[in-house]
Amino acid sequence: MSAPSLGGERRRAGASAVGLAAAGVVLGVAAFAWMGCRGGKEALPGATPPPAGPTEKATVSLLFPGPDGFLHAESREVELPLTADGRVAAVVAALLAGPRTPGLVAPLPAGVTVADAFLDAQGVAYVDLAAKDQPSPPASGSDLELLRVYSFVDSVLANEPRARSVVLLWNGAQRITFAGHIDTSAPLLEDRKWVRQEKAVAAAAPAPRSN
Amino acid sequence: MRRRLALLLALLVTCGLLAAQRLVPQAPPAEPPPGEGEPTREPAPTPAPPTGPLVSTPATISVAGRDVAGSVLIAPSGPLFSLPPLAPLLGGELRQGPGGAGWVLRTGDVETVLGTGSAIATVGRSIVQLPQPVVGGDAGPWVPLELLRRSFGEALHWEIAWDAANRRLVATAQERRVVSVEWSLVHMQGLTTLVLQCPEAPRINIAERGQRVEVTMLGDQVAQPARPPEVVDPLVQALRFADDKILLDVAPGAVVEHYQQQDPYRLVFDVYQRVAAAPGTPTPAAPQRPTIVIDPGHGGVETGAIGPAGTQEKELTLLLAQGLARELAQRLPVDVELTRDEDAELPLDTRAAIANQHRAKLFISIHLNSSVGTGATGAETYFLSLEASDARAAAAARAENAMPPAAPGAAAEAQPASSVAGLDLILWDLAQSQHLSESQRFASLVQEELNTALGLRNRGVKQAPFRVLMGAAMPAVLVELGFLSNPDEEKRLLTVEYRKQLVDALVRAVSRYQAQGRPEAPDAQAAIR
Repeated sequence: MSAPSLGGERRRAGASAVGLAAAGVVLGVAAFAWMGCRGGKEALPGATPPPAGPTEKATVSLLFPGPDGFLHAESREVELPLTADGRVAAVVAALLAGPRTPGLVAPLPAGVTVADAFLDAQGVAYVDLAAKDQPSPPASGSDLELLRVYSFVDSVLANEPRARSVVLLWNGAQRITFAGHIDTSAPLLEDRKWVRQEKAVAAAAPAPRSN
Repeated sequence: MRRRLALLLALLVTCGLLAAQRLVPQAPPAEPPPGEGEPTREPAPTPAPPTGPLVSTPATISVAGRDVAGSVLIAPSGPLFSLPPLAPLLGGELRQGPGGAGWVLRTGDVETVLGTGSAIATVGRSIVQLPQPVVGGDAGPWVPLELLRRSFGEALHWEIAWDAANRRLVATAQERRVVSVEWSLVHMQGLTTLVLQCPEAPRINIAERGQRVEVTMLGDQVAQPARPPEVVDPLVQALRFADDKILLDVAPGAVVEHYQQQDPYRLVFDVYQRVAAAPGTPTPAAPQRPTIVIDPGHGGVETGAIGPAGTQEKELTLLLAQGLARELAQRLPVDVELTRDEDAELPLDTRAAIANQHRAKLFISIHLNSSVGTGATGAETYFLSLEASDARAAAAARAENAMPPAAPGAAAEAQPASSVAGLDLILWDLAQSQHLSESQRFASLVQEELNTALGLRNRGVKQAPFRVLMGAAMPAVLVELGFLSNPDEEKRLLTVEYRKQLVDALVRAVSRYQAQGRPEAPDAQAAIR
């Protein structure tokens, strides 16, 4: 099993106050410079490059796995592409980039990217996740696999109104199961029972990444 | 799949209209009417189509050493080749898409979908970004070299190269591989399932000729199987492996359906008679003792979860399943089968198929859990959710409507769909749908026993779309007996005493389930010895 992305938590626990302050200054300067380059607008982080086409400012709700066995919503105001495909890709990229809320983790370890995202006329969103030298998603127990799968499914469906269901692909292929448990041979519908019912945590300010 | 095809073709044609106007061989198309609806996919950031007129120039096409005259369009981003004359030369078949939109190229079992002006094509299940857009012509599409390599090269084993200096397209057949094939054949409830398994996905073409199905390896050769194909089956009369072909002869009137699965690659044939068997057809006598099938999760290269101390889920599930099988057989009047009794990889559908083959009354898949962090603890029991996918939910609802309501506690004895709903077979994905209420009842008993006997945190009975449960034609649960990601639970699970407690709890759950299903049983615990 690949460990979930808990690097941020470990780093925070082990870092000294001075280190944190220094890191904060560096991050702040970097964020200021970066946002300046983007005309003061915040773009979604993620493994895929920023959208080239027109975008709009929007609030997205991203669902990240938590240690209590549930997904937790984290809302952000971001620049989203205007196309449905672009929005789906941006949401997935943001999930892969990880949460800003301490304690939550990215659904998959670092190194996984969005190879493609596609919304068909029936509202099925196809999300192709890719990882070099990883022929299959990381092995895990079923609870972690459920959180991983529904992190993507429920986040995409919550943020793209035209999407009705989601197909997850890995390295371009649709798998019978995601990682040995959950059937992914048919489009998956939203299932909110994996989501902790609470008010979404606003995470407007950049915070240390979890991986 | 058809709707994706139609959608993609519509998209490719839509985004290709502009480029099509710029072509020499083509008349200028009319302006698209305004307000025709939002395109379903925005054009990807593709390379720009050729900006000037393109003129075809003569070229040589060399296929397996034989030269024929052809032509090529030299575009700024590289050469483009006319697909209509190339397709038959290389063993492919080109046709227009539905409604005359775009083209569909069939190479063996792979379909490539492309449209004029688009640099996106789908090859099988892959979305391929081409180095330049496809160009339309009077006779058909002109395509870049990359598309030839992805379609003919990968599907039909051609090596394709372009010699620009001599304007020569050279296609040479790749060396023939010898593909080893393992086969298995099972007949159950009027359905024969033949599985052909290969170490890697071969390129094949499947053709039905009367009562014969021909599987042709495209560019490859079939090795004789280790086990001779001696078949005794009411629906499959013969199975032969010869040179590049696998031949399947079926009984007169039999219907053959096929599908493919990956990891490992399997080509599966379902053979059945469209007309249900006549009344009075003898059926094998039911076993005297009910059979329970225990499935140790994972195995082989599929380790499952790994604990902080390095314990692999597959090892513990096997130990627990073997212990449970032993205790059940000793203490209850049941026969017990394991889906695996060693550290071996076993496809999920095969696990349920084993239970179906034994006509099991219960299917128990044993697993150990993992979650975020190390704090999660406790056991949980799952039964199948068909609501996770609307396709499955709708099909299940249709199947349910076709079934008479089952009496409480009687689902384990439910008749097969074939005899009550006029259906010829139970669809694999829906096999479990007839048993959900009984699966839930058994899951509740398992959870109760685990909670009360062990004082574990009650994580409850849950529903999830677990593949291993889908094909089980009997009450079926997946039980997670603890969190390997929790170091304390990992330590406990490594002790014989703790595993014995877990096994005892499961035996009691099975006993109570059986007793509740027999109203005449005076004491639910009486069956336990």
